[in-house]
Amino acid sequence: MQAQTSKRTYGTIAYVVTILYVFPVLWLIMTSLKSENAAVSLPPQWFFAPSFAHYIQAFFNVNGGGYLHSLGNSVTAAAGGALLGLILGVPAAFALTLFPGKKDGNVLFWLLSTKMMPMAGIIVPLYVIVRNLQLLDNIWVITLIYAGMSVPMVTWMMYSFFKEVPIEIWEAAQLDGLGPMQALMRLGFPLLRTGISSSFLIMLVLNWNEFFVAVNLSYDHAATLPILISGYMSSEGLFWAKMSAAGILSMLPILIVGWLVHKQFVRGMTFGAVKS
Amino acid sequence: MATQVVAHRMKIGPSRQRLGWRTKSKWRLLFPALLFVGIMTQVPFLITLWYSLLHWNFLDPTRIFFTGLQNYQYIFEDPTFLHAIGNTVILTGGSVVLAILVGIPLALLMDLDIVGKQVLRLLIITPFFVMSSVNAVLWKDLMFDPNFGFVDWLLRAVGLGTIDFMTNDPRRSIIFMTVWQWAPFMMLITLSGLQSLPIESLEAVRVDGANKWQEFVHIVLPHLRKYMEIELFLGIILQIQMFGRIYISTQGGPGDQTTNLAYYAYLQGFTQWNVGEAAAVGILTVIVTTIITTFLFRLIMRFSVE
Repeated sequence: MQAQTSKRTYGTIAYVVTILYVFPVLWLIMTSLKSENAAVSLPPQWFFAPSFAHYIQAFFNVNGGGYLHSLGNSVTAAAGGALLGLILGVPAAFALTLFPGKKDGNVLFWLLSTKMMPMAGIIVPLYVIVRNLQLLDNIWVITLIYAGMSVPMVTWMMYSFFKEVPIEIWEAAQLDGLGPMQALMRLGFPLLRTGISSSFLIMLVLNWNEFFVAVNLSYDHAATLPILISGYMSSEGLFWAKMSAAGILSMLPILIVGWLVHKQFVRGMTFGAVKS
Repeated sequence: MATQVVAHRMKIGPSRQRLGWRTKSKWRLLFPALLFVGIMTQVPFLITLWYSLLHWNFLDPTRIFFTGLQNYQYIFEDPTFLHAIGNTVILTGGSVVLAILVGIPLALLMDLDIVGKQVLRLLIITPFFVMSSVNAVLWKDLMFDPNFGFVDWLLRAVGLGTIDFMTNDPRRSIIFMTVWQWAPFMMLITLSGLQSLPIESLEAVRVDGANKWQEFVHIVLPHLRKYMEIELFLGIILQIQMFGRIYISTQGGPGDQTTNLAYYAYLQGFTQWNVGEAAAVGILTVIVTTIITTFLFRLIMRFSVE
């Protein structure tokens, strides 16, 4: 009986804490559905007739039609970077697990160290090179840089997945006369599709939210969604409802991805050290 | 050293017999990735090193010449640089440690076997996926605005008056925004730790008559230590580069109170257009970051070894 009561108490606490914790997000959603006047009226209006007008406006006409354009940029850079990261990182991780050697630790740590190095340490020459090539404000340049940031992460994540595949599978492939690359294509991809897809989605989330590179190498044409929102904040900062709607539209795609992969997220981000 | 501990945790190293495939194919598979990462990160770093020795400003592109260490000298004489180091330590350390601490009770709540726990988990990790520019809009305007913000309304309603958080206490505001976003991530890792706790060790102390608190302190916390070390490590390498949140919500100010190294490098390069100095800041940022990461890691390891 007593256990029953305390369980119910803890359960209630869990619900209350969760609601309070996400309240700012709920407030953002409420604000986006209000009129501009209602958005800044205090005490807050809890009950109002919701309107999707700001979403429609933001979707079609943020900074003169920017949302869809920036959405395209974000998808290109985030997904393109993640995909290139997979194309290079998966074979690398495969090689490290197939042919273990004494230097592997060094290779892996070198990869990780490029991830730990602040972008501030390399942004200046990147800017100068890109500028001299007249490729500033070009989304493909940003995509390529995101790929460079994705390869080390993908290699680490996939390394932990490859280690779980029994060696017998590769031995069998070899007996069948397959080369390593063929074995990877025919057996590796189907076997590791969970690992590959979660690596892809994790890189998608990280690239989607990247700010430093995007803000320094783009103006309008290659602006990704975080940059669009940041510009929107200075130009339309007084219109909270419209800004909230644009913000929600920008984070919604990645929030859905995040919800889908949150279980694999821990494993991926800790490079397989923590499994959930 | 830090890396060795991580290596141990992550079980790196030879564990398998060599297959019959020729080792040459190892390099064929591995080389493209290494080459690409090298070109994208190491080459620019070497160029940064070279640029940092030049006098070069975009606003005066005709005068580019070698000046040795003059850029470094100028930066060391700039008080903002020293403040930026301090701010980096405070913002990174504060955010990471608090996010880990907030994550523990959250994880304990999420570990409860209650109706709808999957929904609760999805809800509570939502702030983690709110991109930093939206996070800044949300907290700077909707919540903390001294005239129209929700939090300020709340404070007025309970008679505490108006507080302009972003202006009066910019560092703590930035830390607060970061913790709100990252505590759910730390919570996920801690939760994995809780769920991997062997039930036998809990049963053993229960037989000895331990209460919930003793159980937590003597069994659960020691078990979680490894997970918290990983949280600390990841938190530091990710938060030391904090930029978007600062760029949008405070622009490094008021004064230079929230100017961290990443933002300082941005100021030198992209508002002063001073290539030489920005490069020198970049190099110093890499050095300082390496020192901070190593130092913090040694500190943690000392606690861990006991």
